[in-house]
Amino acid sequence: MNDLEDLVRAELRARVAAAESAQEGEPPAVLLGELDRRIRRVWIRRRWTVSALSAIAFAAAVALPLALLSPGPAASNPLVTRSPRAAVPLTDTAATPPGWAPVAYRGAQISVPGSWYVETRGGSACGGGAHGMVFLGEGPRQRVFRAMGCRLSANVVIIRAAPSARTTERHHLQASVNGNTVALLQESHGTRGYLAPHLGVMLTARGPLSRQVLATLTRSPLSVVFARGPASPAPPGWRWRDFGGIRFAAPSGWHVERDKWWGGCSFGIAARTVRLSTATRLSAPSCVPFVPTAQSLAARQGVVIGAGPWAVRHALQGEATSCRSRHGMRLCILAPGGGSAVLTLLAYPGGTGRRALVQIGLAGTGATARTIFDSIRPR
Amino acid sequence: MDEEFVQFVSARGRALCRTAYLLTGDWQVGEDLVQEALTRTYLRRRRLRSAEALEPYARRVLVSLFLSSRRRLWHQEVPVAAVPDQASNGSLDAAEDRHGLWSALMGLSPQQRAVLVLRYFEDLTEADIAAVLSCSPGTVKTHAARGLDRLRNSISLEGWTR
Repeated sequence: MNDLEDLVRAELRARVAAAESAQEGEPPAVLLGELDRRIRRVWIRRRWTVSALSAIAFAAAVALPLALLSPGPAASNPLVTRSPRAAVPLTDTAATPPGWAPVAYRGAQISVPGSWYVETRGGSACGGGAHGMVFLGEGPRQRVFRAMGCRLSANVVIIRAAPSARTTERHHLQASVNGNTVALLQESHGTRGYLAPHLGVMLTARGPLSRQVLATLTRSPLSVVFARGPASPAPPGWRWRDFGGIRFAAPSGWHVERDKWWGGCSFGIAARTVRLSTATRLSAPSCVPFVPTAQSLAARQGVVIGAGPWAVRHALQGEATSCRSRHGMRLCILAPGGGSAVLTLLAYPGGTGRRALVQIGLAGTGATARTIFDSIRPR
Repeated sequence: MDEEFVQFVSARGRALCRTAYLLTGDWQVGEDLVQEALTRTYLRRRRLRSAEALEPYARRVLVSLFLSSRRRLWHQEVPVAAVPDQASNGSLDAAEDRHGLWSALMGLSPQQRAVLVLRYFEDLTEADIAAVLSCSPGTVKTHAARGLDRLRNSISLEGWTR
């Protein structure tokens, strides 16, 4: 034993004591809660892997005899040539704790308690009495907020577009959050955050629940839909439907609604529903003021096809961010307002003369939305 | 999680976080390592002989994750995009770094830092450290001696005895 060893020992203990006191006495329950979520995620991943391997084994067992019996070359069999679907990374649904609701923006998704308000350029709850607020797309412009008589809540989360790559290259620490590499932003005045360039966002949070919220970061279902990888074929249990000049597939268990109305008070997409609207009439009732909480805005799995003039007029109010040709049909993606709970597309099934609006709910892992998107084609 | 593992995490989770902090120099990164280590320990718990084996196993996984993450970072650390602020280098920016010892510790190789943390913070024997690092006690001695030498040369005080 010598003086240097004593000094090292004392330095290590002093450092730990100082670091612990800076952690605001985080209870073991927090560690246990996050650990529990992580373990559940691993179990889900393992189940998915087992299911995927079983599916591949089953497909191989079916495809191989078919390929051997087929007069053509084996490579022409789609079961043999298609890459496994597992190649596309999915939204981690286990990152959302019970009672919390996902909030997506661009390629990222976080989860917050369902009662928190979601503030967007298109709508504000003005803080109200919520324990937390999520600002999508821009920060809380505090002067404007105060001038309106609004107050920030105890917890404030901001998701905005990641700054350009040229701003600065100073980043020292990287971490992995639910499999996503992020750069840690400097913590100041209780605000901590991540930069997730591959998800296209910068995420900052302050307040008592900031760490728990940051820990829920995962890729959004929207990023799953547009992720590079093999197209997701409609599973055998799905049903193909023709409406408005387009053909698409959706799970056969989903409820089907047919009407002629467009508009109304209900927000977003009805869960597990295929709504086929001729949109020849506009519904414009006087609606009860809507409180934009994370729970009420949460995405639902479903699909809406609006084939008539009111749906197209609705679509043309949005700005087309990009257009692409799929299965010989032009599809334009419309910029989502605020969050990314719904993917809205304008399809041109019969050239430029005929148009149909397609809305796909961006919920869950994103796999269902991706499969629906991949299935869209002209009738 | 089963009751036994919950008790283990409640009792020893914080201690593992302390060790992880000393290894990584950042509490959050350290906590992330601990959670990963505890997750792997939980998934392997049935193969461990007894409840007493949980902590040594978790510590071993923790150190192994730390060493492999350092190796990965070495190869993967490329500019990803712009960061508007300077990234955090831990929660003790303003703390006094007496004699430059902390920066010198952080400047050691991952193996040397791991050996010194296990020896002087965890108070493990050379044999125990060798078991954690999956190496021989001789290698542990070498890492410890070289680490102390580098500290001795780095810090501002003089007159240390060997």
